Amino acid sequence: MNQQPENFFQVRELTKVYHMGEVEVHALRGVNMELYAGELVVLLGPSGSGKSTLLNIMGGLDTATGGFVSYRGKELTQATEKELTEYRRFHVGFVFQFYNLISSLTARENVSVVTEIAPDPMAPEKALELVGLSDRMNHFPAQLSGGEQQRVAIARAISKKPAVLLCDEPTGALDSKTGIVVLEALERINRELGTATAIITHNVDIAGMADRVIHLSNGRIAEVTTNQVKKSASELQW
Amino acid sequence: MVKTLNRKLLREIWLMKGQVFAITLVVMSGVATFIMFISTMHSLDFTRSKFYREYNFADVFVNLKRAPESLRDKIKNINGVNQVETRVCANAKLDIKGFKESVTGRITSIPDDGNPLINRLYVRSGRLPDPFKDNEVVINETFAQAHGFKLGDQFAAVINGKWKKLTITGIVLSPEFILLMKTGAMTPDFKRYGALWMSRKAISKAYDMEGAFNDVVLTVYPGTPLSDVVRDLDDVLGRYGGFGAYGLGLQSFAQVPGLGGLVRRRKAVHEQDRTFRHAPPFSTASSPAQAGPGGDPQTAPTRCSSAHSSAVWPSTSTSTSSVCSPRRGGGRRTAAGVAESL
Repeated sequence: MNQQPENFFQVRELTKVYHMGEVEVHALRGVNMELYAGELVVLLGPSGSGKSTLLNIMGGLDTATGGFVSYRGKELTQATEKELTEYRRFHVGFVFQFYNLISSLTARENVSVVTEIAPDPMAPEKALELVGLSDRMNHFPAQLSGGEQQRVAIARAISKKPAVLLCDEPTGALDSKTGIVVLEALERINRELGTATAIITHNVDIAGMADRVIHLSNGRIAEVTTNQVKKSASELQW
Repeated sequence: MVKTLNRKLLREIWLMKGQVFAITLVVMSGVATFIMFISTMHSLDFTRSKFYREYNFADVFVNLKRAPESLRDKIKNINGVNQVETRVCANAKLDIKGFKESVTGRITSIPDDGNPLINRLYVRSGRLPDPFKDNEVVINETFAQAHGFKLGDQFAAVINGKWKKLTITGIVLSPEFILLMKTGAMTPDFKRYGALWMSRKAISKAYDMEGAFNDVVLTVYPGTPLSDVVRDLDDVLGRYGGFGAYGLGLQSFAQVPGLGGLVRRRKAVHEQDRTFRHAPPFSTASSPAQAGPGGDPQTAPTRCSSAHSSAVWPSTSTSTSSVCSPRRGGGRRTAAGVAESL
């Protein structure tokens, strides 16, 4: 990242408070961060450190209590519901821990659901090829392994060619070997398509493949480190 | 555009085809039942209207004590009146072999020149009574079925205090008596209450009504307000012990002895509905109550009328037969009482 990359996300003093009856849970207590075009960021932190909350707000799935988030100069914290829908539809790809595939549709059709409503999608076959599932396109989720399902979910997320890919514990439900295959797919997307990627994990070892690692702790950013030497996903092990 | 989602939908429907089939079946049977009821209702409605029309069901009914036959012309001259038929009606106790309980027969006269003009009879089997025979009778079908009567069967009736053997010459249907119901009964009692028709000559003689009548039915010209006819008719018959005329909408009410007051009250409501309707509700009909000769309001014979012809309470009857020539005062009193208790 030597040239000046576009600053996709700017997060400033972001706070989020959940009200659980009488109790107030401070999930985020003033977070400041950036996400640049084309970079791969790993958000690292223990459970309850606010990683998912941060990602959900950045992805337009949740609203902040205070502070602001802007995406390419547009303030998401002020956006209307309609604007957020458009933002989610056209700009962000999401990958969840538990895949969220439609069980009655094949891998290809699961991707088609997105490509049919996206303005400039890639072919579902192309997306599946990018995650290495060319030969499993006509299989139903129940016929695929966990890793394969997660890769279908990634293919679905990237098929609309999003500028940003947000992954919430994509390897959380997978063993290390399968997890690495999934991470390889994410790495390939990031490299070949230049999609800015944020990966949430509590697995320290995954941090090795990131450009930058953002450590979250107790609703705050504890530390941001930059990897001088970026490992490839296949070199990871845990 | 949503091709894939459509595919998802079809696939999921296919996966639960059993349920979908069951749901479809339930919906279909619901719709079918609904259509069945609707069409049944329409056809019943149509049939009733057709029956009323073809058998010339009366528009206005009135029951009175006794009036000379010459009054008929005066009634005929009432504005809007089309056809007039004077009749003699009476209630009689029947003595049916093999049936020990008290049975009431509602006797209506048939003009000596043949089938009645108004409230014509449909002869199911047999023939109408011979005007020159006083022991011939036709009965309504439900009564015949209840007792298993066939043509030529005989039963006895106590007509004006005289025991008389009657022979069934015909079984008929009448628009006036579609569903005969006894006073106070929740369901029709076909065994203990029946409609009978005899020749005018025979019944007049038996009840001393020769040259007179105690019941009038009439039809009006389309568009004539029934309330006007009813009012004029009451004026004409007032001094002959008229019990208050009523339109076909009230026929089943007026039938119940003692409901005259109610009828009069309902009449006021109906007065607003000034258009003449050809098809009255299915089972509404009755006539003002009449007290029997005994004066006991409960023994009042019912009017000749369709749908509900209500009846005498045989157990309390002090007399075995009674002409429809009740006491005006008695009838009115009862009427008021029942109406109030309602």
